[in-house]
This record gives sequence, C-alpha cells and structure tokens, in this order.
Amino acid sequence: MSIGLLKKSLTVYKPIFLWNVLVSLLTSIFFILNGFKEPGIYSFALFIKFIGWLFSIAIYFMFYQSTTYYFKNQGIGFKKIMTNLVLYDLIVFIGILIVSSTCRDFLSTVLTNLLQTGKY
Amino acid sequence: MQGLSIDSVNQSFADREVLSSVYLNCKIGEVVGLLGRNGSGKSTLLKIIFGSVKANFKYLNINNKVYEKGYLSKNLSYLPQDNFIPGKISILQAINTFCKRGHAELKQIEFVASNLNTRFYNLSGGERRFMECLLMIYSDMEYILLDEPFSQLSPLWIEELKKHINKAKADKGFIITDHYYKSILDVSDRIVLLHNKCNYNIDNEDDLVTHGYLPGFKA
Repeated sequence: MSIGLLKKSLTVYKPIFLWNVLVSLLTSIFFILNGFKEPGIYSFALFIKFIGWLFSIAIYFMFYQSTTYYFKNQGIGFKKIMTNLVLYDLIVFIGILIVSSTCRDFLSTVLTNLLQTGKY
Repeated sequence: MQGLSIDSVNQSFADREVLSSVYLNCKIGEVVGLLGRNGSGKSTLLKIIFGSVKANFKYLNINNKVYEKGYLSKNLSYLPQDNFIPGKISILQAINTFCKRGHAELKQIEFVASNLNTRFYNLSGGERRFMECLLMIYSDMEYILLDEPFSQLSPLWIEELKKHINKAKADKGFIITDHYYKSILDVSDRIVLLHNKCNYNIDNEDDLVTHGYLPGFKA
C-alpha cells in the first residue's frame, strides 16, 4: 500500500474512488437497517460491494487508452493500481461501517424518517 | 553486457503475421532509428518491448535480466503516438513525476521554464507533444522508446528535440521510429528497417531504396 500511488491514482482515477465510496455508503445502509444479525442481508451487501469492485475495473478500462502509459512509464501496472485502490477502499468501507454501527440508533431513526417522508 | 535487446519476436494479428524472428538491441550512448512502411510493425515492436502488447513469442533482456514486460524493469520509458499525460496535471507535476534527476536541465529550456504551472489541457497539440517528448528524453530511465516523436511538431522544435536527444544520449539508449526519415537518419547512430516481417541493418540511404522503403528502385 502506497500513499504516493494513492495520490497519483486519485488525480487520474477520481471517478473510481467516488464510485467505490458511493457503493460503500449504499452497502452500509443494509448494515444500519439490519445490523449483523441477518447473515442473508449482509451477505447480499457484501455481494453488492464485490460487484462494485468489478464495475471499478470497467471504469478503469474506460480511461485505459488515455491513462495507461502515464502509469506504465512509472513502472506501475493494472494489478498494482487496482490492488491499491481496493485496499484503500476497504479502509474507507470499514471506516464507514464503524461510524455507521457506532451511530446506528441515530442513523436508523434518520433513515426511517427519511423513508417515511418519501412515502407520504 | 549492459543493454536492451529483444530477440525472436513473433507477432501476428488474426491470420496476418506482422513480425517474424525480429531482433533489435540498443546500448547506452546509442540512438537506434527504426524505419519501416505503414503497417510494418514498428509501433507494435516498441509496444512489445515496453510490455503493453503481448507477443506470440519474444525474449526481452534489459541489463542482463529477462523481463516479460519491459516497463516492469522500471528502467524503460515509452512515448506513445497519442497524448499520455492526463490534462489535469501541470508541467511541474509531470517533471517531478518523471524527471527527478533531469529536472534541472529541463527547467533550463525556455518553453518549460515559462510554462511550469500550465496544465497539459491548456497546451496546444504541438506544445503537448513537445513537452511529452522532453519528459521522456529527460526521464530517469536508461532506455527510451520514442514512437513518432516528430509528428505534429514544427521544424524548429524538431531540431530542438534532436539537440536534446543528442545531449541526453550520453547516459541513455534511444530507440526512435518516425516517418520523418531524414530526421531519423540525422539523429540516429544506427538504422534498422522493418520490412517483410524481418529486420535489416541499413548503412546508407541507398539501402532504403533497395529494400523498397524509398521510391526509385529499378531491378
């Protein structure tokens, strides 16, 4: 894991990082609503996270032509970039989960209220 | 022996064989000019050396170490035909990324000095090309592959680039390909022609006529 590489990746692959944060936030909603009590729900949440990473690979290849040589000229290939991005995303994801489980009662009240406001 | 060499390169696309048993080498202090007609496989060969195209077979050796992909040696730079530095990055950032050792020389160049904080998307096509060429020429790597460095450039900048290549070659090895063959002949110590899927060593301009690269051959 390299902070230097993260900075470089963020300059170029900001959409991938933002996408992963969005997926993490969506996934954390499942945890807030159901906690860790229902394995089916959080397995599904983790499945969504996994699919999110697959989509990040697709986003990477959307930018491939214009960015690949920028990194390869620094001796950095696809595997290194994606591993670094996924590892940092895991840290962000775990951070979101910790915050959401700490403030679970507050967030579940807010979410329920928001859902009810939307309903009426 | 220190140097870059690639041997037994075989590459085909669909049923069409582009390169067959091609050999190319480059030593420090040498500029190798690579010529060939359109579609002869010049760019493909450079991409195979760099590692962005996988060959059917090849043997790549850089400073006595065998590599599957040249860029993994962290001793090889490649200037592709298209722009490769993201527009958001400024010239100064690019210099700090690629030219940690050669930054002082680069900053002495008038165009560079006056545009240090300019971002790449604010440069014209030719300016961007010129800047990317300079970044690769003065990069920290020992071996530099330049694919059509002179395209999009005005004659003055072509001359300036040639000057910089000659200056930098003291401690680097260059492989250059371009359709401006006179510029390639000027700047190169040795010429290799890709023709009929194979490589030929060229001694003078007449050889280029004989091998059908230049018009005028009569049997």
